[in-house]
Amino acid sequence: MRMANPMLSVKDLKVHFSTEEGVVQALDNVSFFLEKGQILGIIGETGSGKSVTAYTINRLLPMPPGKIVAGEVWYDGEDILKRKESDLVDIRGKKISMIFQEPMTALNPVFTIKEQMTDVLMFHRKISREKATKKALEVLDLVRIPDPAMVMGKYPHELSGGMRQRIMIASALSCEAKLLIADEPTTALDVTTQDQILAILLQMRKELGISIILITHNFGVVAEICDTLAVMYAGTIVEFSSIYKVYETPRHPYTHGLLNAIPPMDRTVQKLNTIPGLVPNLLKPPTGCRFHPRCERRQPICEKQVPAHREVDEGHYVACHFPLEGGR
Amino acid sequence: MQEIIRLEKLTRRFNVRVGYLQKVRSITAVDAVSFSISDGETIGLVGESGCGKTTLGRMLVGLLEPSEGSFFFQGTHLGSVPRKERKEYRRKIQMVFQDPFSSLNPRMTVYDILSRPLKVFGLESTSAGKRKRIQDTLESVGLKPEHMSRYPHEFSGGQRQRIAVARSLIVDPEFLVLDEPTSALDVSVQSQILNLLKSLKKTEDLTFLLITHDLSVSRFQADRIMVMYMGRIVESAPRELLFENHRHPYTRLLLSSIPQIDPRKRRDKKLSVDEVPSLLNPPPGCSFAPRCPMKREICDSAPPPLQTVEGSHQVACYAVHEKEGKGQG
Repeated sequence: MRMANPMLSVKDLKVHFSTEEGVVQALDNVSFFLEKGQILGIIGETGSGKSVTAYTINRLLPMPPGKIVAGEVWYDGEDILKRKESDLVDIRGKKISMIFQEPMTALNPVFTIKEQMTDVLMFHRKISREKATKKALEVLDLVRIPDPAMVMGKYPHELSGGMRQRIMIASALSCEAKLLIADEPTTALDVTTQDQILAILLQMRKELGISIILITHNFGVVAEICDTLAVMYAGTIVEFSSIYKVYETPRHPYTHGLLNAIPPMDRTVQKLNTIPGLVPNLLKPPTGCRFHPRCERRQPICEKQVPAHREVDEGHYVACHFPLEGGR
Repeated sequence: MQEIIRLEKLTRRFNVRVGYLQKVRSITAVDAVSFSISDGETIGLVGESGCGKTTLGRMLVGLLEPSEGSFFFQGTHLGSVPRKERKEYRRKIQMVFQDPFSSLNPRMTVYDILSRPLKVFGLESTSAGKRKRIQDTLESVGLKPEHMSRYPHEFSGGQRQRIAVARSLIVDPEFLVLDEPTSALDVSVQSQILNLLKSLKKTEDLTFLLITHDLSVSRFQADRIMVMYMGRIVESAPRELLFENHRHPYTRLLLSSIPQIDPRKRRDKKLSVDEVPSLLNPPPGCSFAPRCPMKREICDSAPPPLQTVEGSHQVACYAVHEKEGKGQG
């Protein structure tokens, strides 16, 4: 894949996990890029490898059992995967920060918001508690938390899920990282709260110029705020393009099937599209294209050869031997 | 159509302990809810977490006793039927739970899971009859007879939910409470289960109460949709009307908050912080009033009643009633 000057570029990432039953081939041939100021969505179903991708970029992958077999992650002029473990402290939190699905488990229940937020700042920026408190107040204000001083004195259980997620975002942004990875940030929240969190993410991109990778299983969420979209299936990226192109002219049979399996909100249908079969076991992934056992368009070659990413249209990459012509 | 279920001011309160001193306080999870369901209908009960939809469903299947109010099943007031005699009604009312990973006992085979309800209700005394019935039920949900001897962990999420559906169907129920039946599943699996439920409803002649937070699921499945907020029904309308011509400001907020899958339909987002009030300290009048753009003085006086605005479209909102010229209701 080519790109003038991406902020982040992931090339041919391959990740395995050793388990008692054997080696899980969690990621294979994962490539994509992200431009400055853009929001990239990574969508996939359970076990598709979207979180493993995020954890690998941020070097949070537990190793062992995880193992980065191959690939490069270029960010800010260097391949992050080449860094030593002991030398990662200025990347995590400072250059790339991350927020997680369940803000209740990401926050420590026995410390106040103030203690947790200032600890992060004091550690990364080597500043006094006093200065850290000031900065924490600033970022809480940035994510539109009413009365930040009052909220700082609270414990996590005293706040709603939406407030907790705002605090996570504030804390993640407090060290001024330019890339935010959000792993299912709204999955545990109600739709009205989700809407507010998505609004905050958009606003942060606008005000701070950050780039965001948003990991989700919800197509509606990516359609609302993302610029580009990578669709993952069984550890591979099957389609990568602008969100508009993926929605209007999905070229991979999996993307097409997925889009038509979602019950529509704007009209009533009698029957939903289904994708036959099951997600494969990555201990022994299918040969060739990993989607071929479930694909209606498969030909003999699909079983034998892994499809390469091809640019079927400007900026529209598909890993399929027989991509669709486009159209829904 | 004949009425199968009727609720009259069904209420459920819980005692909770709050604060450092663990003082006991009472919250009203379901607040005087009344409605009826016709035979063969699918009702979609939608709302956000904590609105009381699951509590309501649990009262209907007998997992919770109502604090007040009455529940009629096929014309019989269940509260006045002695506990011992309720069993036959319990057979006719079954439930499918949200999470097929926790609702199936991991130590039981599929055969054990499905034969338990037969034993409880004294159905199929012979083991051959039992086997046949289990086999038939498995087939009706798209599973195979050889699955009988397997354990839940050997199945995928979608297959497990099929087992859970089979367990509820095996006693030949008439009314099914489906509590978020697909929210633990991936989209491609969700569509399989939704299609299955829709076809089972026809072939098995069932009535559904579908509890969900996902309005698109209720649009696919339900004939009528009821929107619940803080323990009360705020709007009830036939499916198309609810989506095309909803009236309650909360329904509007809910519908406009749901992300569209079409990126060309993106809407501008508000940066407001909008918190749901606590059930421990509910607003005195309409519970949506603190968040409502249409709020007026009367809204703080008492909760607005659920009134018919047109045909079978009911709304609990003073502003809507006023507009319809029924402000004194």
